[in-house]
Amino acid sequence: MKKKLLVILIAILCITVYSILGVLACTEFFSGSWPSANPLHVHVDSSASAFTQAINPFCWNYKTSKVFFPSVHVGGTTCSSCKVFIKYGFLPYENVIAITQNYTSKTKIDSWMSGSWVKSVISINSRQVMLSPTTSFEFGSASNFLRQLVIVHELGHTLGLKHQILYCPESSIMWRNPINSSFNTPRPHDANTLVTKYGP
Amino acid sequence: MSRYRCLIAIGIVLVVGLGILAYRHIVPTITLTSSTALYPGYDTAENMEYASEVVVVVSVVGKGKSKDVNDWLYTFTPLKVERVFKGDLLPGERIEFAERGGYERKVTGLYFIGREDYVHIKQNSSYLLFLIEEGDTGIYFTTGGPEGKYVWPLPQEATAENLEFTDCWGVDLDLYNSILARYGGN
Ligand SMILES: [Zn+2]
Ligand SMILES: [Zn+2]
Repeated sequence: MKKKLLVILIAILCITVYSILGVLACTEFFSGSWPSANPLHVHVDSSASAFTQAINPFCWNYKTSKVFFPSVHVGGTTCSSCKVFIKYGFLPYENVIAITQNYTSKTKIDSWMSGSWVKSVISINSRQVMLSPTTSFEFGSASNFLRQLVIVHELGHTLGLKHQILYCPESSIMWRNPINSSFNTPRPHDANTLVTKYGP
Repeated sequence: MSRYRCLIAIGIVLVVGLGILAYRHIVPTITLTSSTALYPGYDTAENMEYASEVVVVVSVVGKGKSKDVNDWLYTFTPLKVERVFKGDLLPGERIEFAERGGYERKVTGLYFIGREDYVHIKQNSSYLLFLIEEGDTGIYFTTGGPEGKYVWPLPQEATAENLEFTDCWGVDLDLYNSILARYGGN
């Protein structure tokens, strides 16, 4: 009888620990996933072809064997194997630098968090965004360093990574406000999150 | 007799099926998107106000209409300006407020496509909004993404629930305290 009680108590403990971990995991990555993220071909729309130098998905490679960006394909017609699309243009009603949307079907708004992704679209906003009275950000006239920072951050979303929690003590390219960062490639924390999501 | 039973069975299935379908068309199925945006991120109320064309307290005065904008779904909701902290709007004026996400009707039912990083405004509620106008359209959107919208009157206890922020977005306490100090006094 006592044994039974113990088993129940342990079960309750396990469920509590699991649910706490579940809440924490909320800040790390989306529950949806790519059927395979190796390879993920990147297609740069002709609207973004001027920024090809800054489009560096390769810095996400070799963190895990499950994630690999082999190539960046610029302009022209879309290749059938391309899964990641990068566009540049004016986004109405958005004071944002970029939006990334992963899709579970080819139709436009079937973009659930969970499920199996078929494509990811990174939309870069051409709008000038004020940051403070003395600083603004405009992708079109930003430095190559900052452009890469934006693209690498958005590609993290493409891979299913979410923004880091507020006041994360570790540096991360997935910090939700990365524009003032001194780095523009994934940090060890980002690599760890990727391994947690995909395996080694 | 068995034919009669068969008809009744088909009838029941039809009524139940249509009932479920009707229910799904009346009560929206809520889904969240994985869409995630890189917002400017303001550290103080002063900076966010500077980046905004208008800072206003509004009340929601009608239901939002969802529309497709360049393959994105947006909801446009009528607001009444109650108080003006910045900008050339006047109390009593009506504006439209654009939010990404919204309602979509499919054959299988009505869906609300929400966002993991943002809670849409609610009917019969008041908000403090930091806004930018899209050209001269009378349509406004928030300056700081999720951080451009606050429940009014400003709650003293800054929880995600009180402020209508999603848990995954969370509340930037430094920014909120700065907003509370600047606009919460009266
Ligand atoms: Zn391609
Ligand atoms: Zn982001």
